[in-house]
Amino acid sequence: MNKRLEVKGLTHAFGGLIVASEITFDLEQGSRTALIGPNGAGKTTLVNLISGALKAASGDIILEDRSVWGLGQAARARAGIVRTFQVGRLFRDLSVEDNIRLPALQHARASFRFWSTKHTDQVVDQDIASILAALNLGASAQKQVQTLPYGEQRLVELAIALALKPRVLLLDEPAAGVPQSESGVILEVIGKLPADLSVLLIEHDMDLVFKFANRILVMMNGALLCDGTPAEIAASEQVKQIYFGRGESIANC
Amino acid sequence: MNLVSLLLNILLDGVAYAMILFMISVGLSISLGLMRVVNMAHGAFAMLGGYITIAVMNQMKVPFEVAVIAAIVATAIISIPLETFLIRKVYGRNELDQALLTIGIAFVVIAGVNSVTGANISVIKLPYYLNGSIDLGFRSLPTDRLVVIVLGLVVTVALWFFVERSAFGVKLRAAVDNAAMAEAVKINTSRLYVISFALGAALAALGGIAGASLLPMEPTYALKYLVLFLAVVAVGGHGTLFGSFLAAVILGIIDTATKYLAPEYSSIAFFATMLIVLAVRPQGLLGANGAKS
Amino acid sequence: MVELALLIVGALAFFVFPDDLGLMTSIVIMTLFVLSLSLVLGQAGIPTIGHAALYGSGAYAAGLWALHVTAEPLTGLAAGGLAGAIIAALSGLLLLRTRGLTLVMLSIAFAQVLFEIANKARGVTGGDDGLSGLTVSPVLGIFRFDFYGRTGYWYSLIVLVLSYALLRRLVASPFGLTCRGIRSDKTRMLAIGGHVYGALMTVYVTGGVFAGIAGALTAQTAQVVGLNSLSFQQSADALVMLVIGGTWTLAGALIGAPVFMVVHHIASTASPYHWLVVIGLLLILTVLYLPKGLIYLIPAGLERLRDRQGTHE
Repeated sequence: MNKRLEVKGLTHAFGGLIVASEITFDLEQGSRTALIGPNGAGKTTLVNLISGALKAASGDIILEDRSVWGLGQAARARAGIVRTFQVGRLFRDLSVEDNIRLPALQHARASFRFWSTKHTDQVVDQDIASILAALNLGASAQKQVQTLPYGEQRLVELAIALALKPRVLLLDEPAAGVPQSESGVILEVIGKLPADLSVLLIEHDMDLVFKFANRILVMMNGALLCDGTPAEIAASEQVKQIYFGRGESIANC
Repeated sequence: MNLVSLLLNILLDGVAYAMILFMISVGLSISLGLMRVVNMAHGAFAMLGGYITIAVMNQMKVPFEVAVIAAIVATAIISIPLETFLIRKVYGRNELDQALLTIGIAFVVIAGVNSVTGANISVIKLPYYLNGSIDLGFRSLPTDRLVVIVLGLVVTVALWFFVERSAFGVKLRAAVDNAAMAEAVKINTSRLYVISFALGAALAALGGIAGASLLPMEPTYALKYLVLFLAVVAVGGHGTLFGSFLAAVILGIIDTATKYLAPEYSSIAFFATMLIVLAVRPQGLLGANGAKS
Repeated sequence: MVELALLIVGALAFFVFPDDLGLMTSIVIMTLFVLSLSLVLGQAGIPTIGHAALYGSGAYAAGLWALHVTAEPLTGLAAGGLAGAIIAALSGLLLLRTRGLTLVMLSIAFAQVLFEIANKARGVTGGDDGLSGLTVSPVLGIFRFDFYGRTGYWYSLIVLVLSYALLRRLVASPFGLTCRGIRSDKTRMLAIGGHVYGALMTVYVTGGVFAGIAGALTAQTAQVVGLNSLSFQQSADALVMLVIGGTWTLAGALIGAPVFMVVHHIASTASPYHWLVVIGLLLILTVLYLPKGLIYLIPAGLERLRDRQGTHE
C-alpha cells in the first residue's frame, strides 16, 4: 500500500454545468502535489468532492485501500481526509485555543466527555501546545478568533487541520488574501508538514507551487488535463495555452 | 345539509380564510426573504389595519371605503419609521435577536392598543352591500366571503405582475438573490427594503380588515395569530410568494374542513399539518433546497 | 463559587420575604427551567420556542406519578426528568436535523400538538381543568410539605443549586465545548469530523431532563398541574427570561428569571398591559444595547465566565 489516496473517475455537474469530469489521479504517501488552473476550473469543487462536502454523481475515492464513497463529510474527516477552507470557516466567537482544542478532542475521541474540565487530557493539551508553538500562535491563544488579523486567522485554519492528524490534507489556497508581511509563517509551516502526510495544495502563486511541489496537476473546466513534474509542467505548451489561451478546448498534456 | 352543500361551504370559507392568511403573510415572507429578518411584529400591522379602520369610522364619521383606504395608508406610514429606526438595526444579527426585538415591538403595540380600546373584541361595521348574500342562480353565497376571495385573487395577480414584470420587481428579486451584488449594481437596497416593508404592512392591514370576521380584532391579535402567519411562511418556503399562496390554501382549507367536520381537532390538524410538511420538506413546499434560514 | 452564592441569596430571600414563599418558589423553579433552555439554546444554539413541551411533560408526569403510583417526591422528580428526556428525544428526532426558522416553527408546532393532546385527554390529564388534589409525601420521609411552602422552597432551592453545579461542569467539559463549536459553526464541526447530530441529541435530551425536573418541582410544590405548563406563552416567557439575563452563559438564567418574574409580579398587579409595555421595552432595549444580556452589567467575575464559555455575536 503506497497509494495513500486514489481518485477514480470523479464526475459531478450542477444542472448543465459540468464541474468535474472523470477526474482520476493518485496521491502517494508523503506526496507534495500542487493543483493549479485558471479561475473557475473546479479546483475547490474537487476538494469539496474529495472531502465529502459535496456528493459526487459518480466515481470512487479510495483512502488507503478502503473506499470512502459512501461516507459523509464528517466520516471522511474522521477517516483522515482533512481540508482547509479558502474563505476561512473558523469558530469565530471562540478562542484560538478552543478552535484547536475542538479538532484535537475529536481526534482523541474525547468530544463527548462530560465529566471533566476541558483541560484534563494531557495528550490533548500537549498536542495543542505543540501546534500553537509550531504556528507561532501562542501569544494569541486566548484571543477570540474574529479579533485576529487575517493572516493569523489563516494560521488558525491550518492549525485546525493539523490538530486532526490527517492522512490526506487538502489545502485550499492557504495564503490567499494574506499580505506579504504575514504570509511567511504560513509558507514556513507548509514547508515543514509531516513527511508521510499526503498533501494536495491549491495555489495560484507559481513561486510557491514550484518551491513546494514535486508534482503538479492542471485543471480546466472541470477536467484534469495535465499531471507531471514541475519541470514538465513548466515546459508544457498546453499549460501555457490553458492559462493564456482563448478557451478553446485543450488537448491533454 | 347535503354533502355538496357542506363541501361548498368548506371550500368557500376555506379559500376565503386562505386569502386572508396569504394577504397578511406576504409581508412576512418578503421581509424574511429580502431582509432576512424574522418580524414577529408583523401581526401588529394586520391588527392596526382593523383598529384604525374602526377608529376612523367612529371618530371621523367617514364611510367604510374611505376608512379602509385611510387605515391601509396609515399602517404603511407607521411601518416606515419602525423599519428605519428599529428593525433595520437587527439586519444581519442572529434570528433570535431579531425575533425578540420584534416581539418587544409587538408587546408595546398591543399594550398601546389596549390602553385606547380596552380588552374586548372590536367589530368593524361592514357597509350594507357586503352583508347578506349574492344569488348565483343555483345557490346563494355570502357576499363577504366572495368579496374576500375575489380580493385575494386580485391581490395575488397584482403582486405577481408587480414582482415579475415591474422595474421595482426586478430590483426586488435581484436583491433577494444576492444583496451584495444588487448594491454593486447601484440598486438602492435601503430604499428597496423600506418600500417592500411598507408594502407588506399595507397588505397585512388589508388582510386584517378583510379577515376581521374570521380573526376578530382584539388587542392580543398581534401575537395570538402570529403563529398562523409564521406557519404559512414556513410551510410555503420563505422568499417565494407562490409558496405562501400554496401554503395558505392548504392550511386554510384543512383548518376550515376540520372546523366543520371535527371541530375538537382543528387546532391539532393545523399544527400537525405544519409538522408533517416541515418534517418531510424542511425548506417548505416551494423553498429552495439548502436555503438560508 | 456561584453555587454557594446561590444558596446564600436563596437563604436570604427566605428570611427577608417569609410571606412570599409561593412566589419565591416559582422563581426558583423558573430559574431551573430557564437554565435548561440556556443549555440547549445558549450553549448548543438550538433555537426552540417550544421548550415548555418538556417542562409540561415533566409536570404532568410527576403529577400523575403522585396520583397513581406513589406520593414520594424524589421518585416523582425522577419521573419528571424521565418524561422530559423522552419527549425531548421524540421532538429531537423531528427538530434536530433542521435549523433556523424551520426549527423554530417545528418546535412551536410540536409543543402545540402536545398541548392539544393534553387538552383532549381529559381522562388522563384533566384537560382544561388540569390535575389537582395532588398529595406529596415528606421529602426523605422527614420534611413535610407545609402550608406556608417552607419545605417546598428549600426543596426547590436545593434541586436548583445541585442542578446548576451539574450543568456548570457539563458546560466546562469537552462536551460543553463541542456544543459551543456546533453553535458557532455547524458546518465546520462536520468538516472536522464531529458527530453533530449525536451531540445535539445528547444536549437536547439532557436539557429535557432538567426541564422535566423543573416541571416536576412545580407539580409537587403547587400540588396542581395546568395546561399552561405546556403553553406557547410558557416557552416564550422562558425565552425572554433567558435573553434578558444573558443567553450565552449559564449564569444568565440566574439573573433573567428572577428579574422577569419580579418585574412581572410588580407590573401585573397594576395592570396586565402595563406589564406588556415594560417587558416589550425591556426586550427592545436589551436586544439593541445589551445584546449579551443583563449579566454583562456585572463586571468582575464576568471576564472569567465570558472567556471560558465564549461569546456569540
